Amino acid sequence: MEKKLPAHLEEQRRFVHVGEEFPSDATTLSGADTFQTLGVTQHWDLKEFQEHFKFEILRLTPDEIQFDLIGIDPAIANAFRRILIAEIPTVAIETVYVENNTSVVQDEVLANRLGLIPILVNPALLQDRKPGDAPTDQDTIVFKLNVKCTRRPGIPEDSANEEKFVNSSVYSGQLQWIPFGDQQARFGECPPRPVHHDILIAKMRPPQAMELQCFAIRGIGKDHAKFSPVATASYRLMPRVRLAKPVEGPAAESLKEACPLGVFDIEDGHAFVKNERNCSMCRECIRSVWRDRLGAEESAKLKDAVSLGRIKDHFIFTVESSGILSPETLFKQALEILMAKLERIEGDLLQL
Amino acid sequence: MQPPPPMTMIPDPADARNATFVFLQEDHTLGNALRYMLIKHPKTHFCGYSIPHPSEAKMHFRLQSSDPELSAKDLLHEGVDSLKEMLHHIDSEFTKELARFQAAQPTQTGPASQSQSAPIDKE
Repeated sequence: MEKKLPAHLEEQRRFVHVGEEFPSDATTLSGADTFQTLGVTQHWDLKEFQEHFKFEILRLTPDEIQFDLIGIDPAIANAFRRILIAEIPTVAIETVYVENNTSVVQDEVLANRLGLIPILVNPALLQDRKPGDAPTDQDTIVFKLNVKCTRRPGIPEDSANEEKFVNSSVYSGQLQWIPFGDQQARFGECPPRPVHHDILIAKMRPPQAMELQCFAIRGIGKDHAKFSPVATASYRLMPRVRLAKPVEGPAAESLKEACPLGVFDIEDGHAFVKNERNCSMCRECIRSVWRDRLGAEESAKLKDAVSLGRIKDHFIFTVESSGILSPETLFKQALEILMAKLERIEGDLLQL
Repeated sequence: MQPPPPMTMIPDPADARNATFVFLQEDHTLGNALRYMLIKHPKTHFCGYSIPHPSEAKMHFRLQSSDPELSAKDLLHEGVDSLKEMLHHIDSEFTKELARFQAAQPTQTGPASQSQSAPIDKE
């Protein structure tokens, strides 16, 4: 983009504006010829992209990553988000063979609950199973759940259930992995198990029992949400909060009070934007309701003082893993999956 | 989760500049990303995608080139290449940033050290 857009259009192109009633300029204006009549073109230019693009990790814990993606289009950000949720493979229980179940939880409900338990297996070590194929040691992992609730002898009747009974609660940790074929060698270092051992599966009382075999396979979130590797994967746009005119004295005090997220602070009697990122666009700072209570003079000082908006190409991602894959692996895999899609198209194009 | 059947093309018999590409088992993830890249191509006359029916895993991608020398097929190829360039750059930036971030962090040894990373973003 050699020629620059006029300031007011540039403002509309780069930012969403949030008013008291509604947001405006929320559309993305990224087409090559959107501003052609003004002599401004927005053709794809790798150099320009490389100059503007920024990746910043803000926070990384064993199960959560928070990062900024700056300089990309919603179409791309959304592709990452969608792939994170629905297209990264993981392993989950798909079929449950119930040999015995006398608990009050019906077989089908029990099977559904088992399916939703995140299973800690490296999905890369397993192949996909075609629908209708017989399970093999290359594509299926088997867990056994064999529990019976019994009464502990000699415990007074008014004690807690956990003391009176054995197995009054069945937890995910009681699932036992049964290796088949070469699985012992393949998974030996990290035996398949549920990510969390304390997920309650069912409650039982003597003499109830359950005896099950669970077959886990590899799948993706598009097929069933149980395969989704993330608890949440979402983004929001970076808030942009500006003071259009100086706010001081009691008006500054009121403005600081009005914001429930502590976006504003005061220095030398003047209000300033301290924590833009915290803004949740609640619009309290631009509402007239509390302003009018301050009296005409103070209210006038605050009118149109704050301009609220969002930066259209600054995405704040939060990805929380379900515990199977580390959050940094998740994003890396999302990139690889999108890349694989494009490579497949290139292959298909050559066949046409 | 089998690889989807290959993409097909519904050509315009009169004009190679126009075509509709049919992607099976693809959706907005690919459709919108590709569309974004192609509307930024200087020789795209028209580009849009649709999912004709919500219960059919199918995405139609319409592409018209403005250059008689450039067929829709080649234009799509250029769009795919640009998108790949972009992803390569994002990938390398991500790898760099991850290395930088991990180097800057105090080595995490146990659950106790997790509490050191205070939330930056209060939501």
